[in-house]
Amino acid sequence: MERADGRRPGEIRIVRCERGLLSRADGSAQWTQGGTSCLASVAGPTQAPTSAKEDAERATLEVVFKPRAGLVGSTEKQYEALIRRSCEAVILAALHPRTLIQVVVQVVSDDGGVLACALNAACAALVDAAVPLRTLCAAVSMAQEAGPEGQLLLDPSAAEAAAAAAVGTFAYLPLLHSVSEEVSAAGDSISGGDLQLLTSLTRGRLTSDQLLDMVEAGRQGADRLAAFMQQAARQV
Amino acid sequence: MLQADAFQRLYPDKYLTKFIEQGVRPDGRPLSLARATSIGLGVVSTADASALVKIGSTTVLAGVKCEVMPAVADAPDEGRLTLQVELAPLCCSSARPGRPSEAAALLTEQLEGLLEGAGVVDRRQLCIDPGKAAWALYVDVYVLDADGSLQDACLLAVLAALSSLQLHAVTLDDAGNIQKAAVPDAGAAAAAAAAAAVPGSPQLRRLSLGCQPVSLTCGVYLGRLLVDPTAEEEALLEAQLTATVDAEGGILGFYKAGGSVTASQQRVQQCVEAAKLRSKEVQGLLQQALDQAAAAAAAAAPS
Amino acid sequence: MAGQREAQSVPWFADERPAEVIADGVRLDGRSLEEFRNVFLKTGVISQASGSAYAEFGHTKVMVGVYGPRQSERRVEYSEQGRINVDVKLASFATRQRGIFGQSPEERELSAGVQAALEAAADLASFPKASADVYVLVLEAGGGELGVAATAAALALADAGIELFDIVVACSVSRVDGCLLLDPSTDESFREQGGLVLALLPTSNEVTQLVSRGRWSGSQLREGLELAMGGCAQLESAARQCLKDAVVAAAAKQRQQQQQAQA
Repeated sequence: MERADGRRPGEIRIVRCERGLLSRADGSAQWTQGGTSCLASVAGPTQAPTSAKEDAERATLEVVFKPRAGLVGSTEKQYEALIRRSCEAVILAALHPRTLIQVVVQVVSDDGGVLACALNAACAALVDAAVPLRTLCAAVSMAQEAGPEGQLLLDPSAAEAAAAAAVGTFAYLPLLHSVSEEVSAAGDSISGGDLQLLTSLTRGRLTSDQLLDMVEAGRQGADRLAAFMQQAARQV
Repeated sequence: MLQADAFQRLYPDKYLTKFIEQGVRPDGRPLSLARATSIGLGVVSTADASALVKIGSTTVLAGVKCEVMPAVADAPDEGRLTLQVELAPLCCSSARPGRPSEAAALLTEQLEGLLEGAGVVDRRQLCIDPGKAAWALYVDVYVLDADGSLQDACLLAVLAALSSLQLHAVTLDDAGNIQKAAVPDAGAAAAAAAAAAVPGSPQLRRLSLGCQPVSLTCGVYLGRLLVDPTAEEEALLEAQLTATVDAEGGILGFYKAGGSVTASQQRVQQCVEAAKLRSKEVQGLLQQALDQAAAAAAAAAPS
Repeated sequence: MAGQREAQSVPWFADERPAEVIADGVRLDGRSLEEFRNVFLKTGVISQASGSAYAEFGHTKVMVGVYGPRQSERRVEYSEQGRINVDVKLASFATRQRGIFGQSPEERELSAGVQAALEAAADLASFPKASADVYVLVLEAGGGELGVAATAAALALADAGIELFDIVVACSVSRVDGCLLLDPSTDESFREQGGLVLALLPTSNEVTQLVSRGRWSGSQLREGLELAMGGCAQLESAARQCLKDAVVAAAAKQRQQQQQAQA
């Protein structure tokens, strides 16, 4: 069945990724999915300004999430924490002890799935800043329509998300092996069947099967996004 | 030879590993068992409803205060529920007095999202007089002892406090002031006053909750699932998963914030199943606490 | 606590304060004039803290956690002496009127009062440069918070193993219509003409903190102080018993663990 904008249920909106938009940041990227767009910038690794932000063994990551309008509330704090913890799983932080990596994500436009878009933007900006990463992380949002006939929608628009019985944002990573294996496997494609759930945030009521279907359908969507992200990362 | 507690301090990771490899936890629990849980209702008499929840050493106190507010123009038949979690400075060594910490803000957001997304409290129940007045409920949650799995304890405390809350029957008089609802006739007044403390009397109205969310936090360590981790375990876990389910087994939230390992489909399922089991146990405890409170109220009321 | 404040409190929620609090020498809650409310003291209630205590005097419920001695949060100049840093907070639902966001004047006053009561009792020279952080949360304010908080805080300090010259016990007295009431409730202090709070090192009978409010004549004050000192003596035995019980319980637990280890 077709969706309001003509997409199939498992279809992602048109994705664009532009890197190096900001000349003064160490890295930046704008990630756009349909009507939702986020601009992320990365500063660092730089010397940590205060001892509180300094870790003797690894780089500290700081994430600032700026909404399109309005004050920063607890939702933004939650997004910051989720983006930070997801990126921490990706960055090889031990290579830059005692430093600070700062990621600022600015929402440019929001038509649903802003957290997934922000996560993808942050990841692309980290690539642009040449921060050493062990892999790439890809995020998608999902919506479960209400009712017994309700479909599972990949990358819902704001209207679809508002009408849904439940929504979820999921970030995936390729299954991690030991560091030595990663080094030898560097350059290989990260896509493939071995993406697994790194971060999850859901809202609304789902059955167990619906949750598992959502995680699985999200994984397939993230697989395609990861391939695109990798392609974008190779472009100079 | 090194004493056990010295070994634990010097090599916390190795200490925990030695336990988990044997299939037990440092506190003697098997991996899949949650800690002993207790719920006390009505512990603070200045609050309109209160609940003290203990899960092992983790202690949380939730209190509800009811106030009357003028109705809001864009939702004239709805009241308001404001929730705030505070990590009291006495709860752990990293908490400090002053502004609410990031951890407290995250817990607040998590709980608000759960209550909102699951439709636990229908705000129309809080209406007093459409377009004129409504109840404003302030639910304040204080973490008194932070020994891990805080979200589970906070959510249970909020659920228990809201379940035991009884709103007074009130009306608006002509001047717009709040009055106690009029009692039909003077003879019945004394009887009604006596019955006021008994739940189900017309003077007091319980909220009917849309569903009863219960969450369970599980940790991943050495590829194994540790149910209801303590603070000591949380500091070492590779990842944490929190599943929230209702009494019918519906999933109201599945939360995982990064971590050094990912979760497979089986892992997600395992965590959800554990949460469903835990939900049954906790619903039973809550019902027991509510029954006890009702019996105590009935005994206290003069017959 | 955050949240909008345009909401109006319900007047009948706070039922009128009783005008008469004593009838025929008996108080509203059935106590005689020189009787404490039900007192419950317990240490070791917070697993994460260096020391902790819970105190319940009737409806007044207070929890205290002590952290440290540890490095001072604030940068202060070098000192041979340690510091005791007290922060008292009232839960937003502890009082009839819902609490406000940020530190209220009442909380600031309580913090200073508890700090003064404790400072003279602790051997500050035993932890130079460091600070012992005493965090008090009043779960329910039913009257006499300062005294209850100081007593509980001293127990928590002892539980944390911080060296004290003696424990501190504190209690309040209110003077209502010429009668002196020991350990007044909120309703009773509301009608008082004068009130005092006394904190004492019981062994040496030394006063570490004395607060008086309202009007007192010299002889009334002397009588009030005597009553408060008598109250403190009663509390002393309860406080010592509480600490002894904790030691006995800890020893029993250790023995049990050793037996398990041997088996």
